Amino acid sequence: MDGLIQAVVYDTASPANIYSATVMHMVDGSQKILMISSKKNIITLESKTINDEVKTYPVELNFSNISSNAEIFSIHCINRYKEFDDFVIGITYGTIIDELNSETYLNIYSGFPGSSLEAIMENCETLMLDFFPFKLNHAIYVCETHKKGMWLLSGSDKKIHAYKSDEQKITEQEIEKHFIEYEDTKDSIVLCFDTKSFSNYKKRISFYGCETGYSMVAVVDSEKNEILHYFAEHYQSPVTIMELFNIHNKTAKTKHILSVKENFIPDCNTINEKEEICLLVGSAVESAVVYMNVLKNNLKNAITLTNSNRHQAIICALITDVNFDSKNEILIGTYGNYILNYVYKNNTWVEQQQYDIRHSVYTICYLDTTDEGVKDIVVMSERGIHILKHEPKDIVEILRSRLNILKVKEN
Amino acid sequence: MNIATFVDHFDFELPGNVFKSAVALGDVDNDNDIELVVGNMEGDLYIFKGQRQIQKISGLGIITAIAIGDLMNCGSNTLIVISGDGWCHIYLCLKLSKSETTDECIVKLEPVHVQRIPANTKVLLLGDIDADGMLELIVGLTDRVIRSYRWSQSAAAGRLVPLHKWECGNQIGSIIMIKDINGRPCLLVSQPGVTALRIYCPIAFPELMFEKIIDYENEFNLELRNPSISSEMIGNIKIDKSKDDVNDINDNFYAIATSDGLLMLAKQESIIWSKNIEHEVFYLNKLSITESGSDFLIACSWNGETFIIDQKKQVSTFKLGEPITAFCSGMYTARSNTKPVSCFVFITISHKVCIYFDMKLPNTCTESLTKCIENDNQLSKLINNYEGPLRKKLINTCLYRFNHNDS
Repeated sequence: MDGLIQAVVYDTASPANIYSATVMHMVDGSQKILMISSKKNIITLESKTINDEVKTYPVELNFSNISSNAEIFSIHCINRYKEFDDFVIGITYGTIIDELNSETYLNIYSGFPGSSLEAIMENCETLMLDFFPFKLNHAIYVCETHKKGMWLLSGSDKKIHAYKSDEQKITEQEIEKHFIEYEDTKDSIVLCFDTKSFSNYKKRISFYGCETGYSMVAVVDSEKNEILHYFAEHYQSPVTIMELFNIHNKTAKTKHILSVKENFIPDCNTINEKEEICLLVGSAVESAVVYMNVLKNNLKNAITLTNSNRHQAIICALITDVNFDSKNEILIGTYGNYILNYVYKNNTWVEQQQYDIRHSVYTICYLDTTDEGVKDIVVMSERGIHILKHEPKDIVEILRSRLNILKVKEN
Repeated sequence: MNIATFVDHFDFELPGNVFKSAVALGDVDNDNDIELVVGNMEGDLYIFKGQRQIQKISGLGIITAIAIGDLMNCGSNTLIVISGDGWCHIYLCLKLSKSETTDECIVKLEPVHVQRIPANTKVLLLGDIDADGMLELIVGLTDRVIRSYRWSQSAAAGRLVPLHKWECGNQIGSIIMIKDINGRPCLLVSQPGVTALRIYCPIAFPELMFEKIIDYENEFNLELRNPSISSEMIGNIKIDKSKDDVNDINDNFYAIATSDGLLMLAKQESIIWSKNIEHEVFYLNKLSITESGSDFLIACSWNGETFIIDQKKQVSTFKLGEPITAFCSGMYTARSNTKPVSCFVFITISHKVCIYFDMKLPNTCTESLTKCIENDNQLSKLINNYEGPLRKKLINTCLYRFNHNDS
């Protein structure tokens, strides 16, 4: 996180929660962030250049069918296709009727391939929920050799629910029919869960972490919906984050970089099983732990992120490459105002820097807000939205030296 | 508008209401640490050092103005406290005493002089208006009068000797001392309707016109504004010299803020830029917050919203979230045995003193990458064949998917 400068901070009237942000990855490589600000509004960030200075500013989005007294809890979006843009956005919210009663809903917004965000926001299906929603996510399963997606939502009723939106209607599905690993949640509220597929979607790794400290990782045969391996771990405090990742990112071939022919879109639903697969687990009280090579070692090879619990609870995490070495780093957002940065060096995770946000950190995203090819860190904190940018001079330096190397190789 | 977020602060209890000019930061005990002095309407004076209150002096009347400086021209700072009914108390730190609990030296300020001066003091300024190397005390009264005094020390006792009296046409906003183009000190007194009265000391500069009303002109067409709107001023603003060298070294920059939120940077008799911050401003100061050393303008409004304006007119705001009665900004020794740091002092309506220190501003300069690439000859040559989406893709691939082992 060297050379990052805090460019702007935007005020939001009320603090975010850990499910407040999601990023839309378009097929042309551009990205858009959707954030819940001040409980009622959903905003995105847009940029324009005035007098050679980039200004990034929030723009409010009006999603239809959310009543004005609603409080939005979580947001998630997926692209249904790999080849073109067809986004589906899920939002959970609640309305308070009186002191004891409140109603909670799940809205799913969808359009047609190529629909603009404005069109998607108008087309909504609503389902009333009988529990308080937590994390909204999606997962891919295989049905008769076809990949299919499903919405998954963890709730206050200590279950993970599965939803499908078909023919203008959201219907709840029996979770064990498609995601056998999520059937039993050990009678606890699930705070985080996700699924990554591998072996060309034939297999998947699913995991969840609970409020009671229970966490589970399962390797599942997607075609048969059958658990192959199953490991569980018990922590002393609520498990707040779980992330599955490869350390090395897929790099481009040298000759492809300069010709800019290759169209590469990372698939966020899959993980490369040929590389080492790691699992990051963070909890409210203990230091975060990275389990190395989970497919081979299960949860035996654990590396503790030393001192990662020193700034109170770990709330959010992001696995990404912020120092341009094509290797992933771990960013951990804490309740105690800091973002911690861990780097994998000499077979261990070393803390590199800490970055003072000065307010509790709730979400961290890394995306290209200015559409120039460089990503910025967008943080939602107790105060508002912070945008941390790379120093342009550093970027110029890196680009110059790398392009020079490429030119030399080309000749 | 950027949002500044400051976290580190101390709170002190301070009963009673505080006048705008009754807060001062300065080294009252001459130990090179900077203390905070606040006086209230009940006649109590509080001195804070670091994280605690070190002294309370009572019975000073309605304290309307405080100043800290070497009034006696003896090399050590004095504390001047003036009450609304015209009592001027002067305190001096005579001896340092070791505190029992800590190693720090704790001062006790002792009264050295009390004198009756005309009542209704509003603002105080210590400055050398006659260029003789000695500080004078300049007092602005609510009845539109400005007086100056000099400390005169005799063998038996010293006293304040009145020197001059000037009368303004209108209510006094603030008094600043700047140097004109020839390096001569002069007083500027802000007057309603974005005008100012310039005063030269008649003894030191008898050849000059003593008093002159300056009418400022700028693009905001000031004549159309309410002529009775009051304004604040601050002088001797440090400018980024590297940026434009057209400014003479002798140029003295100062800023004016009207109470309806128009902020202006001026030199001599003209306005360089102006910016409307659309908030009621009651206090204006300058503060060097970043390492670059150039000054930021600090404007504060009654609702606790503070505006930090850099010299490119970029505004950051800090919300205290509480209405305030007085505000002060400057350097303060927040922790003992460390260098003084820039700080904001808020006196809230709920009788609290909040000192915010260790302030970090959001970086307002975000040059676009495109511009930076243009400025780099070598890189722009390499990248010029790529336009629009292709360039974006090239940059993205180069940064995030570069193969470091492919050699």
